[in-house]
Amino acid sequence: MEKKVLFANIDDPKQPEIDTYISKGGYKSLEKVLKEMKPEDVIEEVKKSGIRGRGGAGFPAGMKWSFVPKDSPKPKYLVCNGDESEPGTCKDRVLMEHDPHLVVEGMAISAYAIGAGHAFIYIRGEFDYPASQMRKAIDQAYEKGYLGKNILGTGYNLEMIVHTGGGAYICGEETALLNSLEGKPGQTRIRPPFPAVEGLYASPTVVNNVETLSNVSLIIKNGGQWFSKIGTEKSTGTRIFCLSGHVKNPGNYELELGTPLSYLINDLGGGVIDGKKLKAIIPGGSSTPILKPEQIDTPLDFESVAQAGSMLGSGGVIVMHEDTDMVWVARTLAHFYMHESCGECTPCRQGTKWIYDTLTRITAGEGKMDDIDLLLDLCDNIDGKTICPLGDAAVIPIRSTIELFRPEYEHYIKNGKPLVENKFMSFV
Amino acid sequence: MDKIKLKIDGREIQTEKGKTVLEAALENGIDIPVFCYHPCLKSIGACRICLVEIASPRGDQIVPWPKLAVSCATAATEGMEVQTHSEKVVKARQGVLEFILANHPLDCPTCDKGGECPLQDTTFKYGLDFSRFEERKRRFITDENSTFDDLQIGPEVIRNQNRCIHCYRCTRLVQERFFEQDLGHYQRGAFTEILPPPGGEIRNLYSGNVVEYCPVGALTNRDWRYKVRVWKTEEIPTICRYCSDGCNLHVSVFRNKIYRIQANTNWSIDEGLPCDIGRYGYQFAHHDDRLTRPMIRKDDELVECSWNEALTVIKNKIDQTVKSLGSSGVACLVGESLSNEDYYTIGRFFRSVIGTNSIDHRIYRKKKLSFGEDVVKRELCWNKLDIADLEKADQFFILGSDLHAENPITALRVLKAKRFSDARIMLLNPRPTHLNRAADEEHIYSAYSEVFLLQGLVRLIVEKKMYDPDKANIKDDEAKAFLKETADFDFKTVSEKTGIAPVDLETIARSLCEAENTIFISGENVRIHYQRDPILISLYNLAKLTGNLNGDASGILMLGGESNSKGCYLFGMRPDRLPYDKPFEQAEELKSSWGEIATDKPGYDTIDILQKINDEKIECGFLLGLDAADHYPDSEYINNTLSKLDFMVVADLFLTDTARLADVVLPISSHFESDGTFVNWEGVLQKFSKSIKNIGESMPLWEIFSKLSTMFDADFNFKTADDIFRHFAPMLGQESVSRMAAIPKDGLRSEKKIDYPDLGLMAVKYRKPSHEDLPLTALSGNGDHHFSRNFSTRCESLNNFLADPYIAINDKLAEDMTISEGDLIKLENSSGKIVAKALIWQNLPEDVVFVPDNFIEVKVSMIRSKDNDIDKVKMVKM
Amino acid sequence: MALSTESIDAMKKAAARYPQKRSAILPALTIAYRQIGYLYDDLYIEVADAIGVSPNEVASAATFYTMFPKQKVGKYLIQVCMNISCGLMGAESLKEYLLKVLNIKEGEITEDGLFTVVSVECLGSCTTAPMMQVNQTFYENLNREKVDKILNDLREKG
Ligand SMILES: Cc1cc2nc3c(=O)[nH]c(=O)nc-3n(C[C@H](O)[C@H](O)[C@H](O)COP(=O)(O)O)c2cc1C
Ligand code: SF4
Ligand code: SF4
Ligand code: SF4
Ligand code: FES
Ligand code: FES
Repeated sequence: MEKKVLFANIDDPKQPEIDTYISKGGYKSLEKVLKEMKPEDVIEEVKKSGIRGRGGAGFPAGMKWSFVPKDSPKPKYLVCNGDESEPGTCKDRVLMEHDPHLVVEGMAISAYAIGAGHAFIYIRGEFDYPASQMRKAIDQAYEKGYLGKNILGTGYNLEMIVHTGGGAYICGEETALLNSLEGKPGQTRIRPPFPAVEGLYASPTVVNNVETLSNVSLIIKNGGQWFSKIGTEKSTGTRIFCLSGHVKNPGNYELELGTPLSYLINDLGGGVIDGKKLKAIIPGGSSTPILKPEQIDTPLDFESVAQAGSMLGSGGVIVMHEDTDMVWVARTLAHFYMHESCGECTPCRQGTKWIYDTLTRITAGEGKMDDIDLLLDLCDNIDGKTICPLGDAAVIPIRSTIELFRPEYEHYIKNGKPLVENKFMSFV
Repeated sequence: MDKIKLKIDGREIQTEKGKTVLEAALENGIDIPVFCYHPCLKSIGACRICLVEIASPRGDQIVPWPKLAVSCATAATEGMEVQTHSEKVVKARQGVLEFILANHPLDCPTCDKGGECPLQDTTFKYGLDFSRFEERKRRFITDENSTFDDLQIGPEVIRNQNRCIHCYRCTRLVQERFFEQDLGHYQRGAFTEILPPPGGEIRNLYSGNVVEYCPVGALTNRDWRYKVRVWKTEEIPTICRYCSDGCNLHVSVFRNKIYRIQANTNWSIDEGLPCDIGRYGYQFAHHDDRLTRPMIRKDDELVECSWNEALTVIKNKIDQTVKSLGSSGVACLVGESLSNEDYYTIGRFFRSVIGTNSIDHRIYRKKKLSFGEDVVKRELCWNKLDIADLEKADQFFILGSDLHAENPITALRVLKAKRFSDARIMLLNPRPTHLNRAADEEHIYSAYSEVFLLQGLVRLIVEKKMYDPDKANIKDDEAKAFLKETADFDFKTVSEKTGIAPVDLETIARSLCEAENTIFISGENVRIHYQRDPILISLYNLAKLTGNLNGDASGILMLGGESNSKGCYLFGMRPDRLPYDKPFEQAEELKSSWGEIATDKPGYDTIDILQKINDEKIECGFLLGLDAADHYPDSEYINNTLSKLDFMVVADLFLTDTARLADVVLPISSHFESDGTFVNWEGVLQKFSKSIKNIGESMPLWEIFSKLSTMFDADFNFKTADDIFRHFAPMLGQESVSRMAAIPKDGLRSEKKIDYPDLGLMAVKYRKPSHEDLPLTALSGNGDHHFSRNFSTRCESLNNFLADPYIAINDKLAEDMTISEGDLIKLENSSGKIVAKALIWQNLPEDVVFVPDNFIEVKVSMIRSKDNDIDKVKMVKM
Repeated sequence: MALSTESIDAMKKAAARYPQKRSAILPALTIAYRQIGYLYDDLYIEVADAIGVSPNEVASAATFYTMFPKQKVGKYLIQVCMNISCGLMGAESLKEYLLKVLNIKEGEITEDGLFTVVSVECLGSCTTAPMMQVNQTFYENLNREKVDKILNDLREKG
């Protein structure tokens, strides 16, 4: 069901002001942590909550923090991932715009937990407004002594820096993000070493998503136990789902994990527009396999969605109605992945282009029947053979559309035109 | 090293812990194709051609990994089972190859890489024989049908982006290993391009290596391309003739002509990354200036003659001199890049046939050294580290050395230590040097204040008790005595004299005391310094105080010099030493093969030889492979002196300034035209092989002197370089090596490295230098891509990097004197003047000018005087 | 010198905040882009000088990231999201409409120098599709009336 934990104050226009935030008990968690808790205790509490990363991969946050070597003489860094570039996803933006102190406080607590003296928030370059909201909040926090030197007289120092990107989806991937933060092109790094051991400036670094870190102050405030009771046993807490596409009420909704997809699409989203029939749902951003209408009751938690053959991903739920050309969907996303491939590894760099070229040929009416098998084989030659998951992601929409909507491809190839014509909003 | 066991393709294999699966496989002859991997670079796992299937033990089960893994970046672990040819692997590999080829032009017949192309080879071995790619190939030029997109991206590198397979070896090499930023990748994804920066070129000192690192024909060599196909050339191993690092190289020869030089990896020296000087520095061999016949002075003109005529004149003249002045009337000066076989033969000729010990190579020194003997003896155990040891150090203290330009390969190891183990680099020089691109600290001290700087540091450490008493081994009274003796070197004075701020001095001192292992490196600036010995002793003090005297990653290195400087004195090119650096007392053994040699007293050194010429005590002089008229730091004096010689023989490759003064000029062959050996600064003896026929009638010096010996009834009977090697091989102390052919591929390393004795702290004295009262101090050194004289400037490719001499001046000075870059300026003092274009160099101290010492047109020796310790000049805008 | 002293100062200030100055490349490029409107080779050299890194580092980063135009564009750079969520909501038609009323092709500048239209990937505004970004501002939930008004307002502003 809808459960406003992160979104508790999202509608208060004054929430971004630090005084408002403080008046509602804000920064109390940070104070508590700095004054009463050891870093290990904080990690323990977060582990107890069972919270898993909200950036896409769903890795347990507390566990990730505990990988940071304690005895390393190098400085440690916290990086908050606000790159938010996965098509269909725009949840972190809402948090940064409307409750930036929730992000700042979560970052500060997490930084303390891993022993970092610097915390960065990497925000995609196009997010000018969210970045300015974050900058303002950070400035205020410095002024009030929640950041900077000797925070609240505890001797803990923390510098917090907003870093904006330059337009590159791949910079959401943590190692590319770190390269980008170092001023390099956003190409990825091979793992191991993992960032927790060798990350920013070759020092131990934790990268977490904005939504993940926003939960941290609430976990401290209410206890890991409290958090772990929300959601399902293995998928604890809430998640923000970004509902987009052919629904009446698109928007960002915070749901308790385990809530059925149908509740989001029909009850909150008001169902498909123009009374059309539901055709396909992408449940977790463009990199997740498509679900069919009959799967609409799938509970939205990591395990159930996986069981349904897809992934919870980044929470971007994209709804498509009957007048959607699935070959067009594939080609649109193929273009995206080709454009965003960092170019480091061969299968993704060359494969995404080959796939796009082939789809372009098909949609230009020059396809051949063999192209379908060729596409599947190219997918096979990319999948699992790349440095980072972008390659794996790139093949998902192609495979998924071929598997579920093969006749549309065949029709296109035979007749040089789509089986289903796109009928979308028109401006002319 | 811990050993681990794993299985590859069912074969049980042992390897060291920490190695990758790929390394384990390659070591055991199991072939896995690679493109982006290179042992000198960090693996990035980019190309994916090396994918393998892995299972590893968990509990008592062997669990397959969910995905294929890149063998180049996966650590081999105990019990692992690896498949390199399973169905999955073969499919993946073919897939990767297909992806690579999809956008590759496959224009092999017109590609310069054809015949030595890893992509071509891998495709033959692992590829599909058909292509499914029907889309348009990616093109970086507008002409869709042409693959020719030649773009010259540096003086010697041409890029064809269409062929690039994005392995990023080139850019990683440049950035990771060379610490340079003159090549990068631009744009994104399939459209990523390899380019130099805007407005720039790839022109770093190691730039030619990118061509060898490129696994396809995307980067090719301007100098080599389209001249000859690789399968037609013969590859012959050689050793670089320039600096004292001793890179191993390969010569590509076709029809008796050298077409290129490539690396010939010696892991303990060059790691396959020679500098461009070695790579392109062969071109002098075929230069039109090469002397092809002997010449003899007739009516004040040098005219060509036969060998017989030339040698006869020499023979007669020697006899005449010996008759009138005794054998001491004959002297010989040699250059430092001749072979050991040359030196051995020359030494034997002068000592045993003529009976003179006046042989020397130290043409660069103006005056005798103050400490003389003592330090010189120690000099032998000075360089007790190997190049590879540098990797283990965690700090470098580089003083008075333009290491980058003097010993490029040693500099690369310093950089490697920085890259892979974060070693600190402290640079202290009287002018900026290019190694500053990677330095943690660079301090520019006032020229010639080294003694203040070093003794000041020693004193500071002693005074503030910064040293670790366990390491330093200093007693309190010793420390007290030292402080008393060095009272003039107080903190304030030192800071004033050196121009280095007190805080910086203290930081330097602290870093020296804190690091575990520091290596002290000094170079040419110290070698030619009027106070060389006090400097070396102070370095000794510093090393001792900080516990760095001995150990396998600490010590003192005195570098610089040329390709065979070390061979020069190891093979007796000093007035007081016999081959293998034996003193006269140990002459017995030698006498048994050489016959009688004069060992009653040492001969004259360079300084005395020149004096004796002026005193008319020496009238017959040999200058062998040495352009003394140009090298000696006092042009007027050397020219006057040499013209006083009654008879002068010059042997060289070119008609040098010295040769022009000669009575007989003998054309000598280059080291490409004979077998031979060099000893690099580490003391490693390495063999080079004859790769082309002698140019014209030229001969190597050993052959000339062997011939000459027959005229004196002392037939050496040296028919080949190996004949000579056999003679001295027993002295090398390694029984198994009695013939050149037995020299190991990576050189003959002498094991004996002597530890420094603990001599206690030795206070040194500062001696005020003599100099003219003029505003600017003239410093010199190698210009970019050049080394020494006469050779590198006769290589077109190296001139493509820097062709013209210049005088570098500070920007403020330029502004004050309204000099813009390129204006002609003159440096002048009572010795003479030189004129060249101005080059404006920020960070050069205002009272210093720098002149590259490589160009014949601008002789730095013109403004030098042997009577002044420091050459000061004034500057005039022309 | 194309960069203003304010820009250079801002870049230096940014560089001082990071543990390593190379990290300031993206912030510095952002500053350069906002002052000049697009990026080009000589500008990379200036940026490099300002923050004390090499032109290679600046240029290879700059050309990797696609947010900064590398050619002169109109005063208002209109970036239309063409990705999936916007596409489902008529992005294609939105772009066509813009090109038609402005009478330009993609990437071109209108005669008055005011507008350039380009297609971009998802801008993180999917729940408010279709959308476009004009310089730094997001315009969301677009329909024809809104687009007309936005263009008119911008024209008026000049
Ligand atoms: C291609 C790609 C794009 C990604 N984009 C984002 C992103 O925009 N935001 C994000 O938080 N994580 C993104 N991730 C996931 C990150 O790599 C990383 O796992 C995440 O930031 C970790 O945070 P979490 O554990 O809190 O989820 C992306 C991953 C990939 C492979
Ligand atoms: S999979 Fe794509 S994005 Fe990821 S490293 Fe490879 S080329 Fe770059
Ligand atoms: S130019 Fe050659 S070395 Fe460089 S990335 Fe391309 S293929 Fe690799
Ligand atoms: S000059 Fe020195 S570094 Fe360069 S190739 Fe020759 S030996 Fe090697
Ligand atoms: S050689 Fe291993 S990925 Fe290229
Ligand atoms: S798809 Fe257009 S903003 Fe995300």
